[in-house]
Amino acid sequence: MNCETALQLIDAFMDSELDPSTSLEVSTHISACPACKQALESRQALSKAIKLAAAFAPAPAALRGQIRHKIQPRPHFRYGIAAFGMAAVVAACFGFATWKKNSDLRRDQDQVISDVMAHYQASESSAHIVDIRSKECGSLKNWFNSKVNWSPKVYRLFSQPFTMVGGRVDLVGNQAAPVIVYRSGNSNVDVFVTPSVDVKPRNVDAQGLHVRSWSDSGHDYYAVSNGSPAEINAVQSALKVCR
Amino acid sequence: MRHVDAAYNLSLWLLRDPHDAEDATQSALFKAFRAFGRMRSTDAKPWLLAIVRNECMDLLHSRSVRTRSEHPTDDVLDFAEATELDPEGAAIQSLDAEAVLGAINQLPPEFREVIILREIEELSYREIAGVINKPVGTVMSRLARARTRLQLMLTSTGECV
Ligand SMILES: [Zn+2]
Repeated sequence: MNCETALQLIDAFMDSELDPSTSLEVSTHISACPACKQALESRQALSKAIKLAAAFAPAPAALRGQIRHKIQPRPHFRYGIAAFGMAAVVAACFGFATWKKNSDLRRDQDQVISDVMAHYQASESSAHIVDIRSKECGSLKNWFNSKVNWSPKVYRLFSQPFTMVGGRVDLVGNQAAPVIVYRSGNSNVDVFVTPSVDVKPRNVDAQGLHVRSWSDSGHDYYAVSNGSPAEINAVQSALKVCR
Repeated sequence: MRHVDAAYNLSLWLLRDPHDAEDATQSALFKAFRAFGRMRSTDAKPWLLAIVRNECMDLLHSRSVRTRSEHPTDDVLDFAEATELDPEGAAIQSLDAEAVLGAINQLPPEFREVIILREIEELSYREIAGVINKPVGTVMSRLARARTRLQLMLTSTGECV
């Protein structure tokens, strides 16, 4: 191989785009030819410089944030397309499966909190507390897996004052959510589990109910109780992952 | 949000204007949504970047005032250009980021895009060919010429090709 050919192939060589035998030829030439070796080193230096410079480019972080903000479903989005449309665009970019799981759940945390409070009150007044009685988290987990199309971790309580009563499934947003019911003193504590939309921890104390919401290892949790605030705080801190 | 970042970055590199880049990215995402059903590629990134790139190029071509109206010829690599490089002087002395960014921004868009897609987005030649809708050979020659131009800009003192 002569210098002209080697220089012609030097970019493809550097970018690992040559077939193995051509690549070997270029490599052999370069190791014997200081001029071509110099040319390769210059190209490599340039490549590195571009990557470094790009890292220092006027950071579009703030602007990226704006873009992100804008592609969130919003009613006054400039193209006026439905929120669903933009959610789907995001999905196209980030994987359909993730979207399918999360887009249904991308709802206001307030709405979820009011949902879970309504479910809690409905179950308390109907005396239909659970669909399945179980004190054993493994069987409860299996039952949930047959009822919802995603795999929640079931949490159990290990501290003595609390016992697991069982589970039921409620519709939160438009998604089936496992609900684990615990007994604490004279009150029930319902823990709703949803695929994570990364909720900010929030406490709501209203209508004689206490709601604690938090996010952990891929799930969002909403604990509801009509007991004392101290009681539900204790429940929250006693929850551990059941594997 | 990785791909959206890449989409926005490519728009910004090509259009050099944050507002235009934002518009182009949004418009491209909108088109991406409409085309979603026709998506053939299993790799979403080059597919999305192709839409973004076309959006930017349309915008650039429709701009009434263009700083450069140069179009690269897509025949074989211009070796006159390559051999202008004196191996001794080719070592890039000053690699400060500002100079490199300035040099990239002086490239015609057709050269700039292959540099960004290769060096920053790290796409393969085949993927780049898909994005710019040109043969792989064109990608190879444009990339070589773009790099040579950058080297010349960064080694000569203020003298641009
Ligand atoms: Zn040589």
